[in-house]
Amino acid sequence: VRGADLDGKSLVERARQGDTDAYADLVREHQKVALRVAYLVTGDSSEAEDVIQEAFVKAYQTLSRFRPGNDFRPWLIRIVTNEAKSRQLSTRRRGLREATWGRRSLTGGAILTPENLVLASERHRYLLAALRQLPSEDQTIIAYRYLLELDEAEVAEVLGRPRGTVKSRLSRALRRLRDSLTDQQIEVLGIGALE
Amino acid sequence: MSTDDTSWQEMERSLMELGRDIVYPIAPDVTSRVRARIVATRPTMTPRVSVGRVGIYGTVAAVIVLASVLAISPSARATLMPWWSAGSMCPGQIAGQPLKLTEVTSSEFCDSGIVLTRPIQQANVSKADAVETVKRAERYLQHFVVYEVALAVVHKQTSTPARSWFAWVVVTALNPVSRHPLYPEADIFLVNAKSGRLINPEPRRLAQLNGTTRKRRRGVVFPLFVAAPPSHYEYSGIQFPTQRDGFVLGTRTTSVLFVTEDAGRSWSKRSIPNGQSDWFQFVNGSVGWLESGPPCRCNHPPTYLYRTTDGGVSWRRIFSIGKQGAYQTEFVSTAQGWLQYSGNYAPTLETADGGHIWHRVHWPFSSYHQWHFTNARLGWASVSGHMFTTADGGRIWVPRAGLSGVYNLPSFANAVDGWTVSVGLGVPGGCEPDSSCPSALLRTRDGGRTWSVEHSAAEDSSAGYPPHGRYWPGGWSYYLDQPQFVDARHGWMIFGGWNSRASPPGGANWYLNGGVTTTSDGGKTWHMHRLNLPASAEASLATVSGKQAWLAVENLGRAEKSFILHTVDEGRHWEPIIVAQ
Repeated sequence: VRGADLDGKSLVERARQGDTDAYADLVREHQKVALRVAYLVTGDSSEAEDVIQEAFVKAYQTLSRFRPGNDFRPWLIRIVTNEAKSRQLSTRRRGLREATWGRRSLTGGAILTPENLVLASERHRYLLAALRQLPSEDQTIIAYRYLLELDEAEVAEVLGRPRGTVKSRLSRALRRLRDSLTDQQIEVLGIGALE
Repeated sequence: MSTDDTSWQEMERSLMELGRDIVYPIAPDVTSRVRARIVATRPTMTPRVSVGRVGIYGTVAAVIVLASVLAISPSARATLMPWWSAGSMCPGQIAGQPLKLTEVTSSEFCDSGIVLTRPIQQANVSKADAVETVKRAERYLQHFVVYEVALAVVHKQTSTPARSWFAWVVVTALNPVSRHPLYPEADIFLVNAKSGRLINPEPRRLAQLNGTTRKRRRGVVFPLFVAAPPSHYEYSGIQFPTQRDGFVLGTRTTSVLFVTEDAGRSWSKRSIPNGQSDWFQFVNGSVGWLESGPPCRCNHPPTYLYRTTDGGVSWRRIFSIGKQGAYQTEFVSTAQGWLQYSGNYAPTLETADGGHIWHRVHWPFSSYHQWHFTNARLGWASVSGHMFTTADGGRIWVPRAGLSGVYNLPSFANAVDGWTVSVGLGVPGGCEPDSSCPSALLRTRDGGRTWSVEHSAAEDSSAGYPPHGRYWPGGWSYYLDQPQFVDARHGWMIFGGWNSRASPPGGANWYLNGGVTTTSDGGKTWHMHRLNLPASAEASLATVSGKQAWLAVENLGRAEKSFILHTVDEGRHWEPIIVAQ
């Protein structure tokens, strides 16, 4: 993965100089993870597709602000997340106007909209349900780290926080998740009993 | 306890499997479409600010229109249409037309539960000013768990025109969730844009809604709600090792330490070595430690331990922690301390010379568990609902009987008096809350050997704090955090909570209006002070005395929501403190 990063950095450099072929390569390389992020936030495949298109265009337009030497992927994921979230917000606002006028959290909310997710097997249904019970910030950090399989440094970059903070938030989130599972669910998941 | 470490790894593995189990949509290759769009454009240095940008703030902007619809130019009005103009929302409102504020008084509630105060003065603002106000409002309001925002621009013609007189009204809509006994009925407040203070043009009326008020300058400060000016730093920790000496760690791209030597009257900024830190500790006004790494978060930078003996003016690098990073570090004196690396089976180190030389110790639990030393000998560790203690500085850890089901580490005011909170006492892993499973405040009077229930709280009781634990009826989860006792009578705790079932669209949770609860009789009775702390916030509490405490609130990745509060009257009133200009 790190080797690809080195390559990625040079692609970014070329794209910054206006090489659209290089940028097209970057898009091709990262569109899968971008789509996953967008889908986790929007829970809608066509919306997610729009989001990543828009995000890639925005990323290109702001490439001049990308700090050379950093990873492109977390930077892109941040743009995708923001784009998807702001869409969610405007969609929500539209919906609310038509239905009842509810409360809107100014704090942004989770990146994860698990009620829309479809699982290939039933095995992890409880885990997903338990994940839904967590505060949205816990859901977000777990989604980045485990569902999208970013490493801790990337999560830190996406969230714009020191790694130590990510680490402690992550372990707090895991602890909460573990506490919210019943013994039976843990058995189904094959997680060893605690003591 | 290796099974425990294994179970954490399996937990992580299960989550990754869950991630791979998600059926993601298969999207066509967007490369050509993206390329087609970017070919027409060139990279730009700054984002364009357009009408669409105003739309981001539409909700707030809409209310500006209500107050100042006539003042804004016709072209601006078109982009700032009230969001409720689409449907009838309030009594007296004609569908399709903006609501006039004068039509609703504070005694009336709209269908949607909006509460508005008295008629707002007609404002005279330009579009640019309105947009500016909205931006500022958003920054301010992010301090709160505010579910909906209505905004009015109160404008007075003074010798210094315009902005200094902006103020805004914040309301939360009522819905079944907010009628929860622990949630206030309505939040209404006006915030002065310049000072961040809450101002109320009609003190008595709001006083009836919100409790007691306090006169201050022209306006009235409401004890229940706190506004702090936007901060450029994230305050990730506050410590007052003495009554006069205080330290706050603030991070922007790099970290700095804010220091006071006069009990918070004045603060000075001190730079720290190596860029970015998320842990520090002072044991008195001069001796402290700091863990710091380079701000470049790319690829596991190494972190170091630094020590100061002059209150943070100068720092000396004394130990290389390495790339893995420390998970928990604690010093109990200028010499004695422990450091635990992060990860499964991660080593734990001990120092007896202030951190220069470390040797490895073997503790029966990993960094997923929290531990704390009361002094150089007495330590506590919470391991999956079991409490372990050591009486010899961590050489031997033994399970503490009678504290099964207790997750929170105890707090000691002195060698003998200690407190902790639990849910489902005696039930490992907690229990499904019902009347037989209350959360309890436990107290020891003999240094932790025996514990007794001092106070217990069920969901609907008026215990002075919310019940600690999860899975309460209605989907509420509450938490009590950082119990701190300054003496045998005076204690402080942070509380908060969220509701996972009644969630707003988008999958976020409702949050309890979190805050601080205090006792002055050793925990028999508690007084809850709501501060609108969101559950996402990490609050750091520094208690100085029974009356005085400091609270630093940080919010994951959102510097503008970080703030510092100070109280001198047992938590009844909190003042925002500005440490960074």
